[in-house]
Amino acid sequence: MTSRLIIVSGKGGVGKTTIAHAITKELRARGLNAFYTSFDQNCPSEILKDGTPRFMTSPEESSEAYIGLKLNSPLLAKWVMKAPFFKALFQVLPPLGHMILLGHYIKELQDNPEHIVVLDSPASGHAMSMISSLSNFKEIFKLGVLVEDIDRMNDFLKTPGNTKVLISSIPTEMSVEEGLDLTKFFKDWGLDNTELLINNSLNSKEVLESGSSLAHKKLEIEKQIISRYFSEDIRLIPQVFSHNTSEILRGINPIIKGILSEG
Amino acid sequence: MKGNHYQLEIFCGTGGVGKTTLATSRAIYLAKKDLRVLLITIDPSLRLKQVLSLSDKSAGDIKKVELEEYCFDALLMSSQKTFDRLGIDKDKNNKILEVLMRPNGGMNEIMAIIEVQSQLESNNYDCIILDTPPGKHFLDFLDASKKIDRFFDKSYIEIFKFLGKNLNSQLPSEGKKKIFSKIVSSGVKKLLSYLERVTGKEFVETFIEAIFVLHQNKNYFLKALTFQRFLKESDNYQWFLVSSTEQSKVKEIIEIAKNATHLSKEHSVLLINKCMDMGSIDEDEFSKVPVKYFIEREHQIIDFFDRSKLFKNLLKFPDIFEADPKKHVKSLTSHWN
Repeated sequence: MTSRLIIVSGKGGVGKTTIAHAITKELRARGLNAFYTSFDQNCPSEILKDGTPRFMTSPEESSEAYIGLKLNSPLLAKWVMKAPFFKALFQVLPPLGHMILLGHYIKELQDNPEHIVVLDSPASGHAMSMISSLSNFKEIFKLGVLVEDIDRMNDFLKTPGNTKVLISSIPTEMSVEEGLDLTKFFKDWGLDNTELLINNSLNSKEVLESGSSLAHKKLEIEKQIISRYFSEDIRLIPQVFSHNTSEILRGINPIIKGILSEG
Repeated sequence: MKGNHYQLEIFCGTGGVGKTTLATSRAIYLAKKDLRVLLITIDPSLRLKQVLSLSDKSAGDIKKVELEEYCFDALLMSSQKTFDRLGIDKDKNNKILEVLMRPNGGMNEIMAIIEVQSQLESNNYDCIILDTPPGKHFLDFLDASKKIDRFFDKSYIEIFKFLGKNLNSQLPSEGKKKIFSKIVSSGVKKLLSYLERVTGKEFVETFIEAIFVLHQNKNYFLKALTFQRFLKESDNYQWFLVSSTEQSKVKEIIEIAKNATHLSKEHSVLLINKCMDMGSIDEDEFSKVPVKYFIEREHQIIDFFDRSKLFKNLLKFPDIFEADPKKHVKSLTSHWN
């Protein structure tokens, strides 16, 4: 059974978009109704180019939809969201917007039981803000319909089988440490199905066969770092040496299949 | 551009390119010249703690980093501590403000700009080095002043035009209620009553209170505007946009460069990190995987520098074959010479 919401996070530059892209495509190839999404309103060009189905919405659009639902009037919601005050509020409080986006994805998933959302999440610190926003705003709002909805989001995310979190890192000490911090954060928050993986590994046939002494030197460092942090097997996604997106996606597909076979 | 130092030096760029290690190596390099240096990281992931062996608990306090040959100050940004340090009047214990100032509360960018500005004004340092969050979040940081301005401008006009001029910081709770009912009885009434239907009444009251506190401390927040002016008018800063041969994110570099409109091209440096092509590598390696790809990317970035004319200077740093970030930084330090 595939998770309903797959969150891909990690330090900047660890290949979150590529992994989220590859997962969405693999799920589609299996005939599942998967959608790529990201908080970034400018959808990455490689996603646009190959027509990967996506569920893109902005905090403003989602808030308007939400307020419209709560006030039973889309027109009123439009008016409320037009007020400069609300606009400014969203700008000074990015996590409010992120929480509303997350709420919108969850509502979409609850309304459409066959849908799957793959979230190309913001990098570490901002991913933690997104998750913390649930408890933070719950504390702020205390009571009322909003808190009921936050509780519903919490329940959805924490229901076993619903959420999978993939933390990507690359084989550098900084990135692995950050990946471990982030994995702990998600697990402590209650998302047990959180996996740390190493992307852009040089441990590939191509590098081993290249005969480059430099590449081997880099690979040695990579092995040192991995053995220092991980006693058991950690999933490695090989670095694909290509400038072509579909070639890269093909190259990492076997590992992506492995990840998805575990739910 | 390497040897000179500036009052402010900013390191920005996409994630994972080495901003923190480079910024730290820069701090060490300048500290060795006996300059008074402050290194601030405003990246919420606080990777700097790993390079400098600081604990999470030190976040928000200025820490002395002391080794035999140099000494400098380092600060891991914490919104709460900045809030406290500025002496912002918050004895109201407002829940909204308390939550927002938490580490993941979402005020990082805004508080960071205020912290940086007050450090600039303190004149305690010859050079302040800023390690910034990746990619677009850096632009958020630069835009924070605009957001603050807009927040205090339009939204306050909307709410405060109903309140009269004599707002007093020590409003007893009855006074607060009065103002609250005044707001509610005014034109904002409708807006807030809709908000109340979604959020509950208590929130709306706490919310108005939070806005009072922010408004009373408006001047602290408006420091951010001085920072914006500094970037516009001062010649005393330099910014490094860091890229790496391990990533082909030229598009994102362009996006940052084009949107960083507060920063002058005259003070810009495009830095390419992890370069292979620096004369120390056998030429027969160039055709082998993965070296070939790294070199191709390096030339792509140089090409972009030449064609785009978005940057004043170009700097190359070598790839360091070293697993330990501390040794990594040490090795980078010598390349600032």
